Amino acid sequence: MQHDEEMVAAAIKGDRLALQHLLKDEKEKLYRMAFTYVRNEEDAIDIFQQTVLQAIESVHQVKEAAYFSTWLTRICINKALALLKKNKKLIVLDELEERKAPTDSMDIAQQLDMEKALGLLPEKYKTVLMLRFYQDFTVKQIAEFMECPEGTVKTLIHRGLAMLKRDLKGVYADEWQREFN
Amino acid sequence: MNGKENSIKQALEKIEVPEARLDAIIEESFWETAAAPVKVKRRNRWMPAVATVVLVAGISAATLSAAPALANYMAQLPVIGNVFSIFAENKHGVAAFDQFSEDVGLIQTSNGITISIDEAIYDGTKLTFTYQVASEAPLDSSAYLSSFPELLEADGPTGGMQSEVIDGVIAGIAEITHLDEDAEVVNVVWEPQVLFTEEKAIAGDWKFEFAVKQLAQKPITLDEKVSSDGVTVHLQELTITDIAVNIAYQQLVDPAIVEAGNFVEAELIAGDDLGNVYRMPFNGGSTPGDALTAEDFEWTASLRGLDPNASILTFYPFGHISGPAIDPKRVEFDALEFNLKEGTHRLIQDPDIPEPPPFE
Repeated sequence: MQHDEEMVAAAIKGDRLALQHLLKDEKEKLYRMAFTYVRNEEDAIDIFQQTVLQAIESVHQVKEAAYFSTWLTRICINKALALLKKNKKLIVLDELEERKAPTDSMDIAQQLDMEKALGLLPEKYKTVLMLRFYQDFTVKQIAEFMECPEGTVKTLIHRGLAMLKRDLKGVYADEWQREFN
Repeated sequence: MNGKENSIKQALEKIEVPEARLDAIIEESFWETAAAPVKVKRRNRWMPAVATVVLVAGISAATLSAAPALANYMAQLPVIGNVFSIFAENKHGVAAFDQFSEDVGLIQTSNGITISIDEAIYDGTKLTFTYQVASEAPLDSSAYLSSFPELLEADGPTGGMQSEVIDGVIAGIAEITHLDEDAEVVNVVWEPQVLFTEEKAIAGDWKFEFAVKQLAQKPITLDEKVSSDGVTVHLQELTITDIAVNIAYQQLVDPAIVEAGNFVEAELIAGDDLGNVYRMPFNGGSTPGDALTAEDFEWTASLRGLDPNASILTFYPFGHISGPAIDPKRVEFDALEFNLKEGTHRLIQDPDIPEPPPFE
């Protein structure tokens, strides 16, 4: 999301009202990303709240206004991953149950929609796909964000899409997937 | 199901967003961080009051150009002098502010935008003031004013602001946390730069400087210690002002807890004999120079909106020990009961700690 640079600059300088407006602009994306990691509203809200608090406390560390969204996204993802790590056993059980049910019914494509399928991907694939296709980051931006080579990002996107395709039994095919085939 | 419907972006956008809850979290977070700034581990005691000169209404002649017609219009608004009441529903204890605040009465106009500062109050922990912003044309509900006020005595912005647009005029309230019970006066500088609306940003040349006297206070020595699980809470002093009850306390932590890389935060909740329960957000803390461990923070916490009919107030200390290698652990202590009529106190062993009230 492109923000008014003047407002971001004001927020970085300590203008709390400006930051409040920016966070309200970003709230939907932050919440949806958090939800995709944890798959329940309470944990997603918890991540959102932690993201907001950290943003308030450390917005002065943003070096350039253009990086505000990237910086905020990083906080959100880090908070989500930290929560997943803390609740690792619980998540594994949930995944097993979710993966088991469609197999029993023999029709994964009818039972697993895209949002769920994305939520069940390993974190690194989930992260890279959300950054690319939800936050509209370029491959280069994702590489900077994840501190890895652009080639690695392309590989992760390709494999992530392949996993989605497998989980959705081939019903997933859009312009972004073709881009990487 | 076609490819477009299956796109990742559209899938995520189908996730329902609890917008009202998220907005409330954002707003609460700003108020919470205003009331309880990040604890700073410094080795000095509270910063002394720096300014000794009162800058009462120190505005320059160049900025005293409020359009008489607009100033007159603002003076006739029903919210004038009563901005505290607008926020009373959302801010516990704010309703009483109107009774005890000082009139500031500063008005400045720039680029057709007039800003007035109406009333202010300082209780040794927090400065609160109200303001209004009016334009020649009514402002829409998206309007808000940029830039946060600061205290000359503070280390930078440590506050929050909240505003509403009523009848085309912004009515706002600002809070700046500043703990200095010895300061007779605090000095405020506010230089709003831009009025933002959804459609435009109007830059202006406003600058307000004013001083606010601290409310009268009555310090009462408590000097009681309660301990549990390697943490002691030393309840030191109670100060009762017209708008708040402030308590000073120190947490004393077993060095073994700190050496294991853990952090401790002792907090308080309070309840009165009428069944009211009050959150007591702390105003900030620092470690005194002679502390045994870096976690031996001295805190103050404030209760606002005390029921005037209450005669007994009980403080319930509790805390959390957390660290990279342990699950967070809650620690509870004996409570301290204070008789508001007689000014006496006593400890209560193993109290039933009440549930905190929901955030307002």
